[in-house]
Amino acid sequence: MFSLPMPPPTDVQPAELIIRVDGVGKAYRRFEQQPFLLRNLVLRLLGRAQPPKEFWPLRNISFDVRRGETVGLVGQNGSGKSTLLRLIAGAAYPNEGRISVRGRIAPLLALGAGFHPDMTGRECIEINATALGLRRHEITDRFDTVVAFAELADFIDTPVRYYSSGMLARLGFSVAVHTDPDLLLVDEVLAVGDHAFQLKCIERIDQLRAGGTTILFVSHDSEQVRRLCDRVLWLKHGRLVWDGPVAAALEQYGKGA
Amino acid sequence: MRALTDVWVHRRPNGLSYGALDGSTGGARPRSGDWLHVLSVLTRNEFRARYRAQALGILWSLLNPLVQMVIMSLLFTRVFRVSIPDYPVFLLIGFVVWQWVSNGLPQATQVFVTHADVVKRTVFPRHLLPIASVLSYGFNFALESSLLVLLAFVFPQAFRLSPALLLVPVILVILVVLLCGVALATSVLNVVYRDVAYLVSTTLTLLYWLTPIIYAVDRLPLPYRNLMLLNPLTSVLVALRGCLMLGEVPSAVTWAGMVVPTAVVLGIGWLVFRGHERTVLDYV
Repeated sequence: MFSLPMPPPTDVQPAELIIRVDGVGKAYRRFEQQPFLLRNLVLRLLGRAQPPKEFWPLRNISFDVRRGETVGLVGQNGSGKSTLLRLIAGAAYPNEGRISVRGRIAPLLALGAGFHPDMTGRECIEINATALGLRRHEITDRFDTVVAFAELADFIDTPVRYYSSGMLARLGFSVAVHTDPDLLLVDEVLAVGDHAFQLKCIERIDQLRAGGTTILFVSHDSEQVRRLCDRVLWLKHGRLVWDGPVAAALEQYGKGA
Repeated sequence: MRALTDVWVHRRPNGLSYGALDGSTGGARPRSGDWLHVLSVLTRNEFRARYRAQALGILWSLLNPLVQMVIMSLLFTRVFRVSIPDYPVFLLIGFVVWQWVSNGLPQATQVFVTHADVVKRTVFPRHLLPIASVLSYGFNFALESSLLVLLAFVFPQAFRLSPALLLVPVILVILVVLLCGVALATSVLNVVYRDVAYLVSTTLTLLYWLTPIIYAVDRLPLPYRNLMLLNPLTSVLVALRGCLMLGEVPSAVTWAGMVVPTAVVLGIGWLVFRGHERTVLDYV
């Protein structure tokens, strides 16, 4: 095995940081059965309640991300990448440690990006853009750009339950990248779109990087990581095993270490 | 490089705080989204999504209280000889309010389960979902209230035009707050314990008979009448019927019967919600 290129540089001023993850752990409860209120109450009264089993998809994670960095998050399925992204996005809370972020965050957490199936594309854009912190007039101003980028002009008033997975991914990505985020979190969303759209996304990500947006990027595609990222975080069984330069990390990762 | 806010958002196991990076608090909260707009979009969508599948869907919402009113008023005026004046109007007010309670609460209880995807993948104040669900039945309520207007042509003597009518919106706001208070608690509990939904529907069946929908409270013997005041819906109905049918401003007791339980329910609902909010995110 290799060791972490630690400790991280200490000369970084807090003013340059955008994410600080400090000793973070996340526990999920595992149930054998779906819990029922009545049974639980009875068991508790009888003093026979058993504490639920816990498992920790993430533990002892600490790192800082500086403004303008593009960080690739790699690791096998189940290594905790998505959980980490959800924690940073604020869609979940840590059970240990502290996560600090600032600025406008655009989370793209897996496919669908949180669209209700009965909403039309238009409504999804409206609600997601609002949830991402846009004002009403900002949404109106950008609406056409978002639709055009997603290439969904013909289907914008169709409920998203009839959308293909590619269309959903396009819609989600398009909304997120047009909100001027300070921090963009991308969870494997790029794997879904076709090649042309992937290229377009990568182009847009480049534009955002040039504009100073910090990007945290989950991918299984080493080429994409090599192409886009300045730094790699490698998670393995919920631990951070690498925090450093891209090339060396991918070399090890490719070997399946 | 673009300016970036100095206010950090810290997430710890015990919740959220704002402040400098070193953890010292006191910083202003960062500009929050336009949550009223999110709420209105969510509410509109709840309502639209509910009836999108059926062309005449919304008519069913009208039919139900109408049929109930016709059957009940025939049954109780012709068969059981109930002597409540203008019984059809009396009934319809009860049914229209009850529709909101009995349709809104089960739906709002399920809201985190039906919207699991949205909850898992987007970040917005979660309490907006049950509130939007309750509010979305306000559209149904408004439509069903149009039946009352129609009924005013059939039974003009049953309604009083008076300043008391201005209090109707106030009473409805209290009703909404009450429903939101219940929904906040049941919706988060239902994520962890799926039998809460059954509990809610069973309780509603019971509550139907414990609320003066088809009967009048003042016909009950005194001890029961006082007991009924524990149910805030009793006072809501008494107040509404008083305003609409008698032109009476609700009495102090009636106001207290609405406001006090509503405040208690909202307080408990909010505490339960805050206590379970973070767990909900892990369960859905």
